[in-house]
Amino acid sequence: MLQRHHRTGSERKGTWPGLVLCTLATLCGWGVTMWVGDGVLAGTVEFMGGGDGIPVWPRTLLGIAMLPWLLRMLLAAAPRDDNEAYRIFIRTSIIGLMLALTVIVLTQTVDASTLRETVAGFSAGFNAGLEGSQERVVPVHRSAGGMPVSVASLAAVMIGVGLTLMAEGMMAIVRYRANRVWRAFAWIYAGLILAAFIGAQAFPLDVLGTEFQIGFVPVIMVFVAVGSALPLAFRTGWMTNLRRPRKVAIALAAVPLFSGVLLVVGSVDDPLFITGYSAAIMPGLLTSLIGLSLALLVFSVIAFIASLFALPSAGAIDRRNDEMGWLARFSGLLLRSLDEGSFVETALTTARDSTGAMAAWFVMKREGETELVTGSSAGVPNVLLERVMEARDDHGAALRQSVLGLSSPLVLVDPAPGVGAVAAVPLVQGEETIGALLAAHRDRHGFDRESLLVLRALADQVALVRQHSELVRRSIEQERMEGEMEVARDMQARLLPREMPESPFYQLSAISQPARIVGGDYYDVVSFADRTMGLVIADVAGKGPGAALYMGMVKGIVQGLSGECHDAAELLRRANVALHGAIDGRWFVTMTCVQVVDHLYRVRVARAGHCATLVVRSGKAEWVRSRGMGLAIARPDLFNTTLDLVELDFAPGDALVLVSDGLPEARSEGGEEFGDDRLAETVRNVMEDHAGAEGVRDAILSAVRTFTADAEQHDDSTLVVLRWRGGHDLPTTRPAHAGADRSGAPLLTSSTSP
Amino acid sequence: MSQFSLSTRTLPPTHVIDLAGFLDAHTAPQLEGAFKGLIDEGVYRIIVNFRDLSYISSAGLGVFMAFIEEVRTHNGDIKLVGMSPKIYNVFDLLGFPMLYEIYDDEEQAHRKFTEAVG
Repeated sequence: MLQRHHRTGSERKGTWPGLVLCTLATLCGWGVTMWVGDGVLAGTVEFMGGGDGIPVWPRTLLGIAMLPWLLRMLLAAAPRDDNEAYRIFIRTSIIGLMLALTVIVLTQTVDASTLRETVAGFSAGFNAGLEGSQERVVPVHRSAGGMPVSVASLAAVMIGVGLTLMAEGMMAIVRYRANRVWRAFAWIYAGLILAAFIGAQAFPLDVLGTEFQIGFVPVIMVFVAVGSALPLAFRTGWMTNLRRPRKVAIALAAVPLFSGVLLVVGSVDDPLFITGYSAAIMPGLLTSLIGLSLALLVFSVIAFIASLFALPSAGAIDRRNDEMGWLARFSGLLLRSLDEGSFVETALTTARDSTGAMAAWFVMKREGETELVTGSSAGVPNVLLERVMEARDDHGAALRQSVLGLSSPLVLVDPAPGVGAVAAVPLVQGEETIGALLAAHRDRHGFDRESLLVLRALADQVALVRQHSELVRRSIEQERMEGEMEVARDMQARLLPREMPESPFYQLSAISQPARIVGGDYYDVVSFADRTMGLVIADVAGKGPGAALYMGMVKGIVQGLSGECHDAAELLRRANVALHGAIDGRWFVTMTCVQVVDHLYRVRVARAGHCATLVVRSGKAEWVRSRGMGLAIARPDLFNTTLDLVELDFAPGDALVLVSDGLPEARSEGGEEFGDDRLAETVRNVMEDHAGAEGVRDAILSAVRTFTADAEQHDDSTLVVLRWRGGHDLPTTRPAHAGADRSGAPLLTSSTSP
Repeated sequence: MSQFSLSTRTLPPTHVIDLAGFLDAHTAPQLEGAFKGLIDEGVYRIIVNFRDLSYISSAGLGVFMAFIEEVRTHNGDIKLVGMSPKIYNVFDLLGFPMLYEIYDDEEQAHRKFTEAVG
């Protein structure tokens, strides 16, 4: 019952065309029999009187009409679940009931003498016809005195159809969850019945004739068939998990099923009635009738007994199934309950419904306090709940306090007026009791061991799902954050120049390493109004995502302004105007901007609060620090008056290094700072070894890395190295026209040639 | 890693915040809280004593910027005293001496405040 299959509409409809076809075939066959009724009946009489037997063709026609029904039995589809098996059983039983009624009505309304007269009447008519009488055909309804042949014939067909339908139901049920062996048994049974029917129907009796008036071979087939059906009848597993009322219904339904079949079998004794007709009109029906009846009798008896035996344990099984059903449904619902509200609702409804309690609620520990969680409604007024919570246990402690110390279920009797019993089970998450699930019952004995077990299982589920959803939520959150940070890191990396410009006058090399995933440092290459190249290094105060966001903004501002500015100081002044007041009060930006007048081997440096610039000239290192406040710290008037622009002249082979404070302030494990001096010394040393810009950069990085060893980096570190070409190690590769190209720059007032 | 502590005391008509240890992004919120607390109480004459502070990061500097405007609109000030050369260097690098009054010792700052009040 735990499995629920939903049939689609098309599957259901599928059985109807088959039924209509079967019915049409039957009616046609029957009609044909009526049409040739006299001949058939005459043959019957002859046969019954020990004559030559009836012609083969009318009964073949009728046999063909019956075939679809038998095929249905052969192809009966197994039910998909217990309940469908049950429905098929009930349907089969109803057919049995109708069959029983038909037989009763017929045997009660038509007595044997009437039947004999009927037969005699037809016989006379037939004989007259044979003797050349005008009335060769005696109309059925005009038969003298007796039962019309149409009725008798219809009764035979109905019995055949009824029995076959019942057998179809039986076949379906015994195929329920059948393995290959059981399915083989079912096929053998149905196949043999079908073969016996065709065999008996198709061949004249004088070929197969015995004292039974049916063939010996079909009879053997029938008994083998019944033998193979016997073990199938014991396949009653589908009943086990049905609810008690349905088991009672099976026991009751087995009676009409049994009696219907028994009445049909009983009528075999009356050779003049059904059996007689059956044997005469449709000998195959008699043959298969025996096989169908015997198997159905065994089946119905065993179903009856099995359902009776299942009744005493039905209550317990129902309960177990309920519990399992509740828990399974509950788990399913919980996993789909995304928000806390529906989660609580589901849990409480389940607790109430599964134990028959009048109310259910949670008590949760929240910051040392207990909190009642009732969802939309606990089932009883909150006032009553409060009273229940004040109920005292054996030790005199109020339930409100004692529930949070629970390690096993607790039941208190008569906790409040109108409440017979209250049960509490702990919600345990790991080692800790995080709360309790409570349920109130009207009845003092409402909570037995089983219902406490159910509550316990429910509470465990709740605790588990809670924990699970918390973990899932956290990991989703983390994953999302990590994903977003990854994107941010990527984006920020792309904000840095993809490659440094090439120049015949100098080499450039730069790097920016955030301390975390993203940082507030950056470097950039800009182009001034006169198309001179500018280097920018900046540090947004603070680190992490906030700094990174401002960094993007600062870069945008500087890039946007640089094309309109004529020198580094102007760029910083205008950047300060843009930033001051635009960013939050406690944020500021430090920046150094270097305008490079390449063919003059000259730079103009403006510093806005940033670390000093390292300049190495003729093997001598010095830190150059001009006046200038950080960006966004001061109003433009103050900022502008305190900002200096410094001009520095270099010779080929000299270098300029821009750093952010992450490098000189890098700390060793002992807490010592790397320091400006060490940095300058590193650069000087590596330049003595004729290193290029990249070499200088790598030397600084590796020196800092060696110094800090495993100590965690707390600040972003950014580094830009400009190394002038020329000198003895970096030959100038300046093209002939390079100088001329740049000489138009308005700032170049000096005519000094490099 | 960073050890940081701060304490507030009164030196009428001013309040003094004593800083010690490392003032960086992790510990800056403590100082921010102290400022906020004083300003909420209507205290706008604040001396910050740096004598025992061994390190200050840019986030630490930002805290001073966050409150200076508000304090000055109420005719108060934040005066900084007792900086080690290293700490002063950081302030100087950023041009803070242009914005803040920085004194060698508390006495000078206190006198300034009393003069202003007087």
